[in-house]
Amino acid sequence: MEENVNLKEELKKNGGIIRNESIQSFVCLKDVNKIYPNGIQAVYDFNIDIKQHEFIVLVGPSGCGKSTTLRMIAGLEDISSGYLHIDKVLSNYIPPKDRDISMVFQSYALYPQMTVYDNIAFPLKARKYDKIVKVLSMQAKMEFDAVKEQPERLLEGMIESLDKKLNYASLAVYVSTKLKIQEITAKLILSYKDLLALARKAFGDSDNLAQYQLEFKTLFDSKKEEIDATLDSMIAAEKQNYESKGFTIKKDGVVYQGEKPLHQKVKLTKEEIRQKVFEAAKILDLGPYLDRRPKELSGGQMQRVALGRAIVRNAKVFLMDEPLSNLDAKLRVQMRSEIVRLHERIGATTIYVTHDQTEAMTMATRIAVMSKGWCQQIGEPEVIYSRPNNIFVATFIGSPAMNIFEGTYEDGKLTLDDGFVMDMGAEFKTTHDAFYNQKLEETRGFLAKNPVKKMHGLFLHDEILRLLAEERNLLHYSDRLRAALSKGQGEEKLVPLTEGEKKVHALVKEEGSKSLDEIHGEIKAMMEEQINAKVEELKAVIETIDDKDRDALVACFAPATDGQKERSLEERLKAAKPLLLNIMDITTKELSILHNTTAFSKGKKSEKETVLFYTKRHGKAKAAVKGYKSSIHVKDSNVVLTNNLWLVLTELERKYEAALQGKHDVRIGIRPEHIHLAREFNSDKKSSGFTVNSDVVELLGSELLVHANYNNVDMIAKISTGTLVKAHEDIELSCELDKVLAFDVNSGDTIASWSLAK
Amino acid sequence: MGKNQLTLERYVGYRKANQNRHTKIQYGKIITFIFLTIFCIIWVLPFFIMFLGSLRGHLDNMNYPKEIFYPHSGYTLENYKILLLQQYPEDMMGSHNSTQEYHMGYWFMNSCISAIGGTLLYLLVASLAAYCFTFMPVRGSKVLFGILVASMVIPGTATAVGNQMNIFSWGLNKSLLALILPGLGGVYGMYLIKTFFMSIPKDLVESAKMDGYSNLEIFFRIVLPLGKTVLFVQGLFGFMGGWNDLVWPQMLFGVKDNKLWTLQVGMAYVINNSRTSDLIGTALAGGVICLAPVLVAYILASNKIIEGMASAGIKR
Repeated sequence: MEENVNLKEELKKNGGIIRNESIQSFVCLKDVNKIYPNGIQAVYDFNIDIKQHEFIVLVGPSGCGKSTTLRMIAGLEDISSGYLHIDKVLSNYIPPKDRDISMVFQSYALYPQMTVYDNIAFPLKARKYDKIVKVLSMQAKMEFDAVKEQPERLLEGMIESLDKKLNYASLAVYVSTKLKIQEITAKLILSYKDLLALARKAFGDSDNLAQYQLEFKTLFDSKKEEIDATLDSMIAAEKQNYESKGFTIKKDGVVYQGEKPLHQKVKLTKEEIRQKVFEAAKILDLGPYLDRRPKELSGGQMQRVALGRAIVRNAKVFLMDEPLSNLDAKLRVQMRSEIVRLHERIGATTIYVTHDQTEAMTMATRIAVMSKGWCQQIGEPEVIYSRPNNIFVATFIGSPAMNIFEGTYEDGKLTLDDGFVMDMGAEFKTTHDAFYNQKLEETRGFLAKNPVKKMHGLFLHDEILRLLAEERNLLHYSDRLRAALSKGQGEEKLVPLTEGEKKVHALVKEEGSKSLDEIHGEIKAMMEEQINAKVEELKAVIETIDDKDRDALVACFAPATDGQKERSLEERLKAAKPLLLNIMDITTKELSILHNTTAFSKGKKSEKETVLFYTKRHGKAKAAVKGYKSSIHVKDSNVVLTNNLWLVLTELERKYEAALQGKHDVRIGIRPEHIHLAREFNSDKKSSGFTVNSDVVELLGSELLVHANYNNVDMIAKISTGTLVKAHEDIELSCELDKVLAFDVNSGDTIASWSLAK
Repeated sequence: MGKNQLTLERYVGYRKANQNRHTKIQYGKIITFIFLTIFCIIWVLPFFIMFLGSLRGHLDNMNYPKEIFYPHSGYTLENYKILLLQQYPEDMMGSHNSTQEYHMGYWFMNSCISAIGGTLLYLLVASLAAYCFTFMPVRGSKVLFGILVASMVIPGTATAVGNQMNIFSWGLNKSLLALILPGLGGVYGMYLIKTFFMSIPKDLVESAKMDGYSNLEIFFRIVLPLGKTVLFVQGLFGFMGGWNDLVWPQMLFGVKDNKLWTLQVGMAYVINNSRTSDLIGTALAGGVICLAPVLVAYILASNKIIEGMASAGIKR
């Protein structure tokens, strides 16, 4: 937050624009986070460098933050933290209209009250463009000189302008478009009523056109000089206007200020707008629909109008928010190729959001796969497909989705539950070991960090508090039990439940003769042992912490010095807790690793994930904490952890160590297209065959999708075959060993060489 | 020839069958029709009597309803003459001499200015506010809107005295602005317009923002044209409210110069003066004058009103 305040001050100093020349990419997002006002974090640390002319596709299941990212780039959502640079300019606080971005919305966002023409022209009408100032009437005169030579064309234009079917705004607009002259010239010509009257006659009587042309020519010739004179007077007036302001005018009509041509920020003229709209309409085949309203268009046409509105402005960056999801399947494929073609033609940097992996794979130059706010992988489509970072990317990309089996790994061999063995070779074994060594190193490095140590301390703190409470409870229990025994009633209500209570029960029953103090003493001694062990452990942990809180923490547990009152254990813990809770410097990268370990790990998928962390709500940490469990609030990243990271990490460490020892669980992914009929497939990487009974067989042209239950997984195999496989038939399949992927059950990461490179 | 092909014979057969079905007497429809007719008559009759009564001379006023269609001294415009031109019939008794002069023209103009001007100004203010509440959310705008809506439960008459004191202390007690200003704070119209604006897709506004338009431009170029119908409905409601308002103008100008009166205040005075039998016709004539503009406005715009009422609050 402080960072952002500084940024705002700096922005003020620099007049709202900060350029960062060191940034190489065209659009650059660095550590971009989005936290909504209600405390939900939609995007975590998004990093991407987009080069010019790239076509980036953000893809992920719904609710993964891809649209939010796009809207942050567009400026429709604030960026909570991080930096967005567009063309080297820091754009975090630049309003959307000044970012020079155009966007296609999912709903197309066409203005229903405007015609297609107006819709496409709409973005052009707002902006001012830098232009060289010219004397307008001088240009008008030049254009009129051209018109003079061809009165037939003028007549034709005037006749057509009278045709109501062409539906133009005014006669002058039509004539000026037709003859490519300015509107003032057209108006001047049309102001001669007898010329217009003649055109009207000719319009009504189209058979005798030649005769009217002659008549028009003579009439027009007589008016020529008059029009010229008017234009001359206009030129004189305009020149005088400029010269009185101290500008000079060159022959071609350009106004000079001293030596340089005068520049001015002006809105586009109607003709310029018209030209641009027509150009865009031409690219998108919208010519015949320009005067219709969006209501009268089909879905595909509306889509094209939305595209036209985006391209007409030549913006720096194009954003598209699921533009094809409202179209039917056939049209979607068609528009997909059309958008790719458009991108090739215009070459604008495009960021495209979709949930459809097919669109992503076919359109993108690079794909960013997102899940639950985290960016999982960024890369070219083929890389994403063949070398996925983790199980999420692997299953999300590809259609039909990758088959995931539970299995085990031992000594370079993958074994499925039913005993099918795939020997992956020695190379895979070294990769596997390197992978787990790296993971172990990473986890240990994380465990050695101060925040995690503090969480360890917190865990022990909570433990000690729990033990103290248990001690109190046991003392109370012994009292009640004794009282009940002495009275001889109510004993049956005090059935011992916990281990401690059972011990106390035995103690009181057996040695009923003992005094109260003796029993209490024994209970205390029993608990003391456990508590002291924990306290010693806590002290040891605190010793290893090496940040600014260390001394204060050590002091909490130091024996009382002279003149100090001896503090009780509770008081010491109370003093230590806020220090332990002072947790800083957990980077989001580390959190992302932990996110994946919980989100993609085997088993308790959904449950565990929600417990890992909650975000801050309205400035107050809100996390469900029961019993003696501290809620952990990471101060610099607004994250509240409900799981103790230390526990998570030690568990992980244990599992990674076990994985290096010998046989352990993995998940095995085989893409449907890499499974073949054993008898038809020949390769040195061919696995041994396995037999399945096909459930459903779908015929897709030259390919067959065979569904079969194999190892309790609904396996899909994509078989390109000449022989038809029938349903409910035993078939022998084999797969390509070099395409088989193994995933770590704890983190979901791919056990492969490309995972090591990171 | 296929079995399912439609031959002429079969076609004729269909027609006959259908005709038979339609010749059945539909009692439900008849009852509905009668019922509606009766209610229609009940509603229209008073207006009808008012109109006829305004055309009856002072001598015929008591012959009612015996001579409702044929007053024995014939139809006459003398009531209108009394109201508009102060020309009393010569044979009328002197009860009218104590009255102030009627300034029907002034009253009519005052009503027009306050109702039309007030409506237009209110539409501008309310739609701008609705735009802000819908498309420019700021911290606390929801709370503010809640307070505004809650204020709708306070009846206008409860705040009238406070308003009157304010207006007098601002020295607006001789200006028609006093009729317009307090109405601009109305919530109901803003609420209506806001509900309609909420049905406008946000994408439209966001798209225009990205294209480089300011909020005001977006308001005038996109949101207002889309909200035409609801503005029309609210405009009509506002006009009717302004036109029919009696209490507020009476509080402001009731004891002042009667040239500042609105038509309704004037009418109250006219009715007060026409308690004698020979002047009842003037009250009825005044009613006709009051009603005419509203009626004309409604007839001209009835299509749009129904369309607007149907679309207000319903997604496009």
